[in-house]
Amino acid sequence: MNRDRPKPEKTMHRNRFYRPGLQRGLEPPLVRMLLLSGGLHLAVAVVFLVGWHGPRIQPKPVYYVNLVNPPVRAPQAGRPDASPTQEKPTPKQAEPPKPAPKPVAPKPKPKPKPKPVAVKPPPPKPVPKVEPKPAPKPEPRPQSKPEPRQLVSPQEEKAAREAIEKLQRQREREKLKEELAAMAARDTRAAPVAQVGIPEGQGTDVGLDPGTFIKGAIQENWSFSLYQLASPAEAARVEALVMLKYDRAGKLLDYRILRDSGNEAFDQSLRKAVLKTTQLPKPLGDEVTVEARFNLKEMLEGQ
Amino acid sequence: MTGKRLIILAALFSLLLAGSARAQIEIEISAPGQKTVPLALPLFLPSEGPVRAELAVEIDEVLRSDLELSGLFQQLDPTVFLSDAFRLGLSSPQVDFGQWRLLGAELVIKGGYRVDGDELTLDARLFDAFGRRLLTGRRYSGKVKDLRQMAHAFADEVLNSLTGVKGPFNSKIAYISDATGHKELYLMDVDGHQPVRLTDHRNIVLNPDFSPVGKELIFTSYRDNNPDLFRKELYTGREAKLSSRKGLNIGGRFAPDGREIALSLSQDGDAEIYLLAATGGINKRLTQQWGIDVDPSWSPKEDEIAFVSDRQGNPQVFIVNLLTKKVRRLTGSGRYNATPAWSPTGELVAFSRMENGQFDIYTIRPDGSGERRLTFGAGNEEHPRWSPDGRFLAYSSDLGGKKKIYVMRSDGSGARQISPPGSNCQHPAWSGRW
Repeated sequence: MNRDRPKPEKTMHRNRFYRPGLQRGLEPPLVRMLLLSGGLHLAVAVVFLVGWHGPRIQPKPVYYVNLVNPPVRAPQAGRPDASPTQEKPTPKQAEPPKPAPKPVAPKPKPKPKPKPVAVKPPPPKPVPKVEPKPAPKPEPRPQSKPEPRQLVSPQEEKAAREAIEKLQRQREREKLKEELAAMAARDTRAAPVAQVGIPEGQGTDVGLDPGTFIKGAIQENWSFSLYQLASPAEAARVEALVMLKYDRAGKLLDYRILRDSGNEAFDQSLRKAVLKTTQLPKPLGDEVTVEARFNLKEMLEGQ
Repeated sequence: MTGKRLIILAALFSLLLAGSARAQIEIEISAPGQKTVPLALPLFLPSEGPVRAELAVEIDEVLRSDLELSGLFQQLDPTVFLSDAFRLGLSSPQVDFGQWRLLGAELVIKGGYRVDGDELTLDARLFDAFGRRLLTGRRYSGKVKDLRQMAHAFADEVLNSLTGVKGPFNSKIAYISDATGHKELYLMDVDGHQPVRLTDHRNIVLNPDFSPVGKELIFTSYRDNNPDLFRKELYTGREAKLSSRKGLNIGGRFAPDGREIALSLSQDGDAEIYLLAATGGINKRLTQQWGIDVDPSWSPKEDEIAFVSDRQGNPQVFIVNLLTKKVRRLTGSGRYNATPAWSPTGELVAFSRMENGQFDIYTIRPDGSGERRLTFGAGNEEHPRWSPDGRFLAYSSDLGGKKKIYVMRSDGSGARQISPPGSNCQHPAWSGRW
């Protein structure tokens, strides 16, 4: 009996968290409260993690209407602030000519400039091999240079003028850019409004996806008046499905009305829109088949 | 969560598809880029005989005005027209469609005229510039003075060809004018041209309505010092009293089949809605209620009639079923709603509402939904009446002083004054197809 008694005590003390006082303090109501509290916390955590969606709300379709800029295949191509590929050539061309003019020292300023204009593609190549091929290069050039020498004054003048104009334009562009940036800083709304491209774009996009591009091109050529329909109810009803096949060059190869709308005027307007879009404004780069669904939903929302 | 999963699945699926087949893209185009159809309308040319520029210009004016009102077209600037505009060419092989396409025209109207004495022959064509085909063509023969009618008729035909429903331009609008000092009944073209006085009652004439069959009008006149209902045959000019019961005989409206007339009679005290036979005998009493019941307007199916009643205190539009005589209230809002007009398509009821002492025109669906205000701004706009195709509304407005007749599209756009200036013009009624 004596041996048996201390046993329970020992086992209890083995527990590091054992506090003799606590056991006494844990009265049934407190336990219940703790359990309740724990349960509630757990419930909140479960709701938070799993997510309670409540009554599901069907999201209304969102239509993006590009009122100012017609969609383009490569929206950044024409942008002064976002076309590094096009902007870079100018500084690059300014550098490569330098090795070349050295042999023909007399004309330092005007010469470097005519070259970028006259021989655009070759200069970038010599850049990496500037040192090994300084001698061979000057040789072919003198052959072509006689011409510039003969026409020294008019061509170089022209080139110089062009270069100056280019510089001026560049400066103006930079000034504009600064002004735009200043405007954007003043008005936070200016930035999204000033963007060119698609609403879901990240600003890093190289171009539009072909679907959006083709959609823009056809939509621009689609003319239809609500007054061609008997009633608004009819306008809500009409819908047609058209298959269009474009080749890499953006040429319409084939089209088929897969499902007509049942309204002659509406279907005719689609045929016309397709016939007006037999050639896309820019090549696609790949053959594309499009299934286009035509309706008047967006038009009716504005009513 | 399921939505996200679905999207991921769809993305994976489309990737699989993209791998197996050539790029197949689905797009949705939910609005046209241009909300009007580009139309080229060169001046009509003489198909034979000398040039009559004044005729060509008048045809051009009528067509342009009608087609503009339709709201369907964007008319191209004639100054940019190329050589084909100056060649007659009335059959598709003779038309240089390339030129018109270059200008962006989808539709081209061309025409020729031939004058022989006072005889006029008009040939008009509507071409599809992209389909390179003739859409419709008409030849009209008549007197030179009928030129406007011919041009209106072709405008109707253009709408028919493009929408399947003829235009209303070659119809008439009756109205009340005080040009002589008395309110008399007049008739004019839909564009306000050729106004003609029809009555000489030298008292008060009001509320005209056209018979849907035959060239005939009914109206109320105080000629004999009581508001009696009259009918008038337009060609013979013959007039007859249709109802001269004690008290009011007002607001007569022909049933769509022309066999009955709904109107208000006050022979029993307050005004109630009755149905008369075309000969004037009472067929049926429709309302039996305290309060005045006026301004009936038939549904195109002839099963219901909208009317105005103050039975609940102030004037509101109600609808009565002709079989059961059950009455339901149509207008739910506004304290003063009057002069309902049921559209010929049956889809809308137009009416005027007074708010802050000023009338404006509204439309509402016959089930009481979709109420829409059509006129805004200063002036009282009231007494709306539909064109026979349901595309337009004629109404009166006192904007700027005197009352004038206006027409607008049924969505409230394109409003224009048509009645001649100088007198008060009101109570328009649009004829059926003329």
